[in-house]
Formats: sequence, structure tokens, C-alpha cells
Amino acid sequence: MRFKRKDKNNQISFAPDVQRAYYRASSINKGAKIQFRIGFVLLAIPLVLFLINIFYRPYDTTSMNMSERFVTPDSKHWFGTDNYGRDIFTRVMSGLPLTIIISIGINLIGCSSGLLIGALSGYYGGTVDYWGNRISDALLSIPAILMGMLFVATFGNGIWQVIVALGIMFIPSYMRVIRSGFLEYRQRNFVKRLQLLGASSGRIIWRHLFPQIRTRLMSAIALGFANAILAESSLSFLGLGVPPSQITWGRMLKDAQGFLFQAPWSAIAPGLMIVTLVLGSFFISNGLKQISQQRSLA
Amino acid sequence: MAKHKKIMQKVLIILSLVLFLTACGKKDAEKDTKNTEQTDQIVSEDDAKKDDGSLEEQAEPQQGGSVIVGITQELDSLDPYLAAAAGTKEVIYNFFDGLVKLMPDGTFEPALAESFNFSDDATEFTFKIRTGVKFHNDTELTIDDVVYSLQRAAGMLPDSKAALIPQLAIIESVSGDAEAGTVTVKLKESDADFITYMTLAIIPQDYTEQAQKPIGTGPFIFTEYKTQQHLKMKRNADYWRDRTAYLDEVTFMIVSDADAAIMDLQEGNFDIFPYLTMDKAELLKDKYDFIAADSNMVQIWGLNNQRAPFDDPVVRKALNMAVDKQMLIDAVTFGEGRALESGMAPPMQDYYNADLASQYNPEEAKKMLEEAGYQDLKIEITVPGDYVIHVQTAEVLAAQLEQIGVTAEVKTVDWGTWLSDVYMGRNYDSTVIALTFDYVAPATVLRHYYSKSDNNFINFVNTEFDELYESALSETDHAKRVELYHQMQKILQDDAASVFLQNPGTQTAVIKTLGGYTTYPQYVQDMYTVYYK
Amino acid sequence: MARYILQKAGQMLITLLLIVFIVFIMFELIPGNPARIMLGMNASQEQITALELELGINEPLPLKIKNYFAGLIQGDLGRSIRFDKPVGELIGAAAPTTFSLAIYAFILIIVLSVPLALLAARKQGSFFDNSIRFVTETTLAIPPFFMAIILMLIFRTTQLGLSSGQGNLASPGFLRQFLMPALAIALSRVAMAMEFLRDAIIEQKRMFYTRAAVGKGATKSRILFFHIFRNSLVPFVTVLGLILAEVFGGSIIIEQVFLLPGLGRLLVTAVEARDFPLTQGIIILIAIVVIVVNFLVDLINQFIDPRIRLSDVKSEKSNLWTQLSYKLKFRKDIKR
Repeated sequence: MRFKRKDKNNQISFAPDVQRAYYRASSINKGAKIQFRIGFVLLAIPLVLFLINIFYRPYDTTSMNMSERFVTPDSKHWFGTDNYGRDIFTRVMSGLPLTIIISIGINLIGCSSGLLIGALSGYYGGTVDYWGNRISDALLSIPAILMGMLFVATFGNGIWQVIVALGIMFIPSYMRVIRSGFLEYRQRNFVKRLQLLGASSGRIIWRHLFPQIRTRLMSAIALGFANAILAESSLSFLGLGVPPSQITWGRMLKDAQGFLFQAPWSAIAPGLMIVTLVLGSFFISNGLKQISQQRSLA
Repeated sequence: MAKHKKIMQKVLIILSLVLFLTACGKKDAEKDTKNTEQTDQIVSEDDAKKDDGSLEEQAEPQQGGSVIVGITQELDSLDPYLAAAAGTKEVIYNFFDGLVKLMPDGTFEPALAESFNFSDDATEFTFKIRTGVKFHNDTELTIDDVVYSLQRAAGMLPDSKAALIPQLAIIESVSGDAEAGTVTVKLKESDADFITYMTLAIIPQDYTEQAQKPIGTGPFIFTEYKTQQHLKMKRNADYWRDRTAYLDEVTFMIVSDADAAIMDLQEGNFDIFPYLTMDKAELLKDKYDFIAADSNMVQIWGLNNQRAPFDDPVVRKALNMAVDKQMLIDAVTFGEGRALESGMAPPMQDYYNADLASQYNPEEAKKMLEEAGYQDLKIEITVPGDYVIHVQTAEVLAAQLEQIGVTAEVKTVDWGTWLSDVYMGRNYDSTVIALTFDYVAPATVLRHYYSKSDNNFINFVNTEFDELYESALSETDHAKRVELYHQMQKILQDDAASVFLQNPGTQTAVIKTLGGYTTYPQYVQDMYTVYYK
Repeated sequence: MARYILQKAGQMLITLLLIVFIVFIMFELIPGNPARIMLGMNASQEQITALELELGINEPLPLKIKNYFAGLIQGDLGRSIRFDKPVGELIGAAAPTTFSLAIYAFILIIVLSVPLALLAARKQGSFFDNSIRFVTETTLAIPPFFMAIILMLIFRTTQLGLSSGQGNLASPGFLRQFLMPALAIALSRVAMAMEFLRDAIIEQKRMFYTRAAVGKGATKSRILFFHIFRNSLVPFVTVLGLILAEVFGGSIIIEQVFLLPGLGRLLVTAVEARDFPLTQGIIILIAIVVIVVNFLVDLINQFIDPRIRLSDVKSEKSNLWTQLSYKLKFRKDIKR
């Protein structure tokens, strides 16, 4: 019964149509390649800056120099200086690792929990699925900012607090991606066959179903990576991000906010960096998405 | 080939975007250098104006007009005794009069009391109440109203649980004499500061809607309040003083913060905007005059005296020597602040001990720490993240401490958390905070160092200080009191109770067509004196 | 149909209960005493104790939950601690601003994304297609508050008119006044909506029925609007529904930047003051809007494409999710 219904649905939206699959396979590969290239070029910019930063730092990131505050961008200070006379270029360079660590941490929590809940919901369905959905609905209906505020109020500002608060808010999105993937594949004949052969559920989930959605998940992770950077900067904007002694681009944007009219350059440098990194991740995510679509059609 | 073309196109688009953004930045940058060059001039002009106050008085005050005042805090209860936020008190000030009025120079003048006198031991105060004063609801002010107001504020009404104004808890009895037209207040113990509390708003008896629609005798009448939006008031045409207010209508606009309102300020959409920093003055000098005001804040770097390493006076002294307060003031308040050496601020007039010298000496500080065996000291500074000034101060402190080899980690917490964990729980290393005084009463600030007080959150214990504090409370002779408070400040410096940083100044932007804006040593936005030139 | 609505209502109730409990637990955990926050540093211990008693802060959790639900059943959301006013009244004052803004932004999203998607989908992979997509992707990559600030700087907009609280759809000058905040919300979402519509159109173009229509001799525009566009609407409406729900709950930052007296700002104030009843009230309202919008999306989709049975919606949705979820549900959290 369930089987039949699903076929009907497939027909409505994404009919596996031989002709279309053929047409796509050739064009998608090309598109994906371009997406990847642009993505990697964009990601390379901040990465190169960071590598330079390891070996050579033009200025100190913390020491303050009141005589050089709000210096406009020139040959000495490429991106100008901030309200304490610190070189913005240097700070932007050294702000990369923490920005990325936070983003990775958020996605680690979101993805691992999402994977667990999503796989169970998608594979078992029924009651497990019902409650998994209710929890994810509830989480989706709570604004992320509220979660951030409650977390920061409870545990103080800090790297871990940002990671955990946003990580939790990222769970439902991963859960949905994985659940829908599992729903799609668990009805396939190879799963039925495996079940008949007596394979354990864990084995089916991990060894047979998970590889099917791996590309799709990678695409989601690339996107999640970009979104985590945006989310961190939004939290920082409301003063809920990392403490001032840590440098992230979100934090730098927040600090620049009070001096936007006196020193707009102090916001532009970290802002541009965020845009570059996020855009790069978007492109890679799009490329991965195209490949995964192609696979599910083939 | 086509592939390459597409990539090129994308690259071109990126490049043009980048160029566009940087071009935007440059234009503003040029503007800014011009601004910075002129800043010094502007400041000196302002100073000149400040000195010559009579110049502004010469402009002829016009009757009428309306102004928009920007405020950055949501209001709480409009009941003058229940209002807790400073941001609410400064607004509802315009609805009420007290028995006495605080003047700009810190002295007190009789207001709803025609005159007052008090016993030598400062335990009994008698006020002669003015006649012919009307509340906004057209009822006349009676002795009963005054007695009711004092009793309600002191928590002496049958249904009250505690004093609504904590300073008034020392009132033993309030009695009115209708024939003589006087009200007499008896205190449980002597309190020479008591008269400063008598700026307390006088409200009509048994009127229960103060929180929604406040009624007093003040120069302005409440008309409308919308949460998160605005509070409006109109002129009281029946005001008891020799003249009514100049302005017909005043609107207090609630905005989330000054940074967000800056565009409106540049367009001149606000008429008055208090609590701006000096750097904003540079941007807005075309449309606004800037009036410098003392704040009622004593910003300190509070060191938890019971926690290592701050339990060692040597460490506290060394830290005191390590902080370059002038650099801090330049960085955080753009030079508009006064460096402090002890727990009292200049707006406290005579009580402020101006003779204490700066101890800045980082080399000596480093040596002291080394000799006492504190190598690679690591400390934590917990600051309320909602207050940008404190966060920035902590950042600057951390940078300065690095110079003497001390590593300071700045940790920001939410204000509510700060109050319960740091202030009440006293569970912290060190913190940056501003102690405020609601009245020009020196005890309210120094209470934070009195070991028996709830508010001694830095856990400072010094018996000599406690004795002086106790005797100052009951001392009525002004000169002797001043002397006692000066001694207390000396102890705070000598014992290095904490690191006393600054008394930040604030700037109020007043649009150039307005005059008469007056500042007081207390947070109020007095609209009575404001007029169109 | 009736059974479907009943089923949905049941789910909604369970989700709401979960949310109420999550907020309850969070408020049990966070430090901070509303009485102390209200009275400030200079307050005495007696004052605080008196206020605590009045507010009933120190009651045990089960009693608090019981009291809250007892009130909730009667439609009473309680009294705000911070503002000393009924929660219903405060939300009633703030909601019109947020709702008007959300609807305005929503209309902008449709007006901008539909023509862009039609243009981009005309020829897949053309220069035009690629540049539209690149520009929209870039708007997505800019942090929302940064976007708002850039817009303010470029157009030099002032916000006093907004914060005067006259801002709702019925007021004169609304369209002009709210343009900037609405645009700040809309711009990044235009990219999302556009991309889904474009993908769907391209998908439909390759279907056999399109070729049949061409063979039949139908005009290009007729094919586009009567066949392709209509069939592409199902995923598009789903996306729009998610965006609308997200805009309602997620305007906190935009309200902060543009000084709007809406729900987002109220929520920030409420949490800072540990104002439990107010926080709970706002969260419940936002959750209801999110859930109801999702429900409406299902209904509209059935109207557009009668082949979708409501009882099947769940599985239909899960198929759509395959495409939508990574793009959307992720971004949902973030744009707030």
C-alpha cells in the first residue's frame, strides 16, 4: 500500500525519467566542476591570508596604540586601524581559525545529533518518527537568537556556549536532510533483500543506507558550514558571541558597529571576509548537490 | 573555451563588487579624516561656551513648541516609588515635585516645602508645606498628601511589606499639623543625608493608578505612553512656580541604542539626545550643541578581596600602579572622563577628596609582583556584556596588564547573571562596573566598601574604614563629615581596595535652536528649563 | 479533511506543549533574579524580598507550571514583570509592527523572485542566468544585520517614523517608511525563493507534456504560464511558506537595527529582564504562526495540484524535503 502511494508521488514531482537523466548527466558534471572551482578559489583567499599570518604578522593583534586609532586604510595599514589603533588587516588574518573552529564545532554537534535522530526516524518510521518530528518542529519554532540568549545568560559568553547553542539549533535541519534520504532509500528493493537476508538494522543503516546519502550530507555540511559563520556573526552582533579577548570576524563586526560612521573600514574588512568564505562554501555545496541529484537519478 | 569565458565573467562580477564596496569605504574615510582634524577645535569651543554660561541665557526664551527626546532604555513602572530603572526616573521627574529640589550646583532649594529645618542631631525634620499648589487632577495639595507620600515611600502604610525607597526605611514616624501647615519627620537614627532624599516625588493621596497614569504637581502632565515606542507629556498650565514650562509638548522616544539612532541624529530628527560619547559629537556637530555633563558613576575595577591573588594587598597595590587611567579614558570615553584615585567622584562636591595623587608606575608594579613571587599571574575580569563601556574598559585593562606580565582573560556575562553571580553571589575574580549614586549622598557610594553592607561585593574589610563610615552617618557638622569622608577615601587608596578608574563624562546633544538645557548631579532630563531660542 | 485538520491540531498542540516546557526548563536554569534586575544595584535586601513575594518568583516549579497552564486555559498569558502590564496587551501592541513588516517583506520576495526566476529559467546556464544566480547568492552570503546597515548607509534612511509606532499596513506612508527594513529581510530570501522556482521551472520544461504542448502548437507564453509555471508552484509555495514563518519569528535583528517596536525587540527585553511570562507569551505566538503557516501551505498546495491528497501530505512533503531542506531549514535559523 505504502509502496504504491510513493510511486504516485514520485510521478508528481520527480519522475525518474530516462531521457531527463541522460540529458542531465552530461550537463551537471560540467556545472558542478565550475561550481567547485569558484568555491575553492573563494575559500583559498582567507586560507592564504591565514597561512601568511602564521609566519609573518605585520602588527601585534592585541597591543593598543591610541595615537594611531581610526587610521584610514593606507600603505601602512591596508585595512586601516580600529578604535584602539590595532591593525585591522592583522586581526582579520588571525581571526580565521577561531571563526572556522566555531563553525566546525556547530556542525559537528548539529550533524552528529541530526544523523542519529534522522536515521532512526527515517529508518524505523512510526512512533520514533512522530516524536522525532515533534522535537524538531519545536526546535524550529524557537528563534535561534532566543536560544543563544538563554545559553549565554546561563553559561556566560564563550566559544563553547556559542557552539552548543547554535549546534542544537542546527539539529533539525540535519535531521530533515538525513530523514528524507533514509525515507527515500529504505523502500528500495536492496534494503528489503538485506532485511530478508537477516542483516541487522544497525548494519543496514550504517553500511548500506548511509553511503547512499553521503554526498547529499556533504552538500548539507558545506552549506551548514557557511550558515554557521553567518549565525555566529549574528549572535555576536547582539553581544551574544565570543568574549572580546577572542578574535572572530563576527566579533570584529560587532566592535566596528559603534564606529560605523567614523571608521566604516573597520566593518568592511571582516564583512568582506565573511562574504568570501560563505560564498565559497555555497558554491561547493551547490556543486555537491548537483552531483547527488545526478546520482539519485542514475 | 566557453567554460573559461564563464569563469572570467564570474571573476569580473566579483571584482566589480569588491571595487564597489571599497569605493564606498574610501569616500567615508576621506570625510572622516576631515572630521578628526577639526575635533580639537570643536572641543575647545564647547569648553568656552560652558565657562560662559550667561551667554546662553541672553537668548530670548520663546514660549511654546514641542521637542523629541531620545532615550535608550525601556521604561518600567511609571509610579515614582516603584520605578527602578534610572531611565524611567529621569523621564517621570517632569511629572513631580519634591519637598526640596536639587539644583545644578548640588545644593538643595525648598520646593513644595516653603522652608524646612532640622534638629541638631539630624533626627527630626520639619517642613512648612506650600499652599495653593494643585495636582494634575485639579485637587489641591494638602498636608495629608505629603504625609501619605512619605509613609507610602517608607513602607509605613498598613498593607506595605517594605520601604519602597530603601533610604527612607530609617523614618520612625511622619506627622502632619494641618493648622501650622507643617509636616514633621522623625528618624530612628540620625542621618545627615536625609534632606537629599526629600526630592522624593509628592503624590496625591489614595490615587491608585500612578503606574499607568502618573499624577503629580510637576511642570508637565502625562498624556500617553506606549511600550517600546514613546511617552508624551504636555505643559502644566497651572504650575505653582512663577512661570510654567516653556515647551508645550515633550515626546520621549524609546530607541534600542544610540548607535542605531545615529542616522536620525544626523538628520536632526531628535531635539535632545543624552548620554552620547565624544566621538559621536564629531559626527553631529553641525546640527547639535554638545553639553558635557557629569555622570553619577564611579567606574571601578572591582577586585574580589577574598580571592587569591587579590587577598594580598601587594597584588592590589601593584595592579593599581599598573593601570594608565588617562590612556583608558582616551580609549573608552574619548578623553571625556576624570581619573579617580578613590571611591568618590567629583560630582560629590566637597565630599570628593581631590588631593589623592596618581600612583601610575608600571615598572615598580612589575618589580613588586616579582618580589612578592607572583610570576605569570593569570586573572579573569568578568564584565556585564550589555555595557559597552565596561567591556571596552576591560579590554584596555587586559592590554595594559600585558605590559607588566599579567594575563587577563575578559569574560562577558549577561546583566542579570552579573547581578546574581558577581554582585550578589560574589563568585568572581574581578569585575569592571560603575557604582552609581541616586542622591548626592556620599554614603550611598561608600556603602559598597562597608564590611557589614549587603552591597560590599568586593569583600573589602577594614575596621578603621567601618568606624569612620559609622561615625560619618551620625555626624551632622558638614565640615567634620567632609573630613571623615576624605579620610575614608584615603584608606580606600592606601589599602588598594580595588582599582578606581574614572568618573565618565557624558555628552548630551541639544539641537542648535534649543536653549536652557540644564544638567544636574543626578540623572534627570529637566524639560522645565528648555526653550526655543 | 476534518480528520486531517484534527490530526494537525493534535500535532500542533504537542509541539506547543514541548516549547512551553523547553522555555520553562531554560528559565529554571538561568541565573538572574527579576526582582534584583528591576531594582538595580542600590536596592536593599528587604526591597528585593518584598518584590519577590509579590511576583511569586520563588514558588516551586510544579506549582508555577500548574498556575501557568491554569491561566493559559483561560486565555490569560499572565502579567509581565518588566513592564508591569498584562502580557496580552504588550504583545497586542508589538505584534502589528512585526506582522505588517513580515507581510510587506513577503510581498517583496514574491514580486522580486518570480520575474527573476522566469528570466533565469529561460535559458539554463546562460550568462544572464549565471549572473542573476551569482548576485542572489552573494546577497545570501552577507550577514543580515550587515545587509541592513549597508542599506541604511547607501540610502541614508532614518527610522524615527518607524519607531513612532504608527507602523502598520493601514497607516499612510507605510510603504515608503518600511521599505528599508522590509528590503533588508527580503533580499537574502529572494535568492532562496528564486532558486527553487527556477529549478522547478527547468525541471518542468523537460517534462513530456511540455513537448506535447509545443507540438500542439501552443504559444511560448501560454506554455510558460498555463503549464510550466503552474506546475512549478508546489515547491515554490512550500518555500514561501517556510520563508513567511521564518520572517515572523526572525525579525529580531532587523527590529534592533531599524528601531522597530516589534515582537523581536520585546523578546530581547523580556529575556534580559528574566521576564518569564512575557518570554513565554511571545514564543507561543511565534510558534503558533510558524505552525499555522505550514498548515496553510499544505492546503494551498492541494488547491494548486489536486493530485496531492492531504492525507498524503506527509510523504509528499518528505519528497519535497529532499530538495528543500538543505537550502531552507538551515538558513531558517540563521537569518534571525
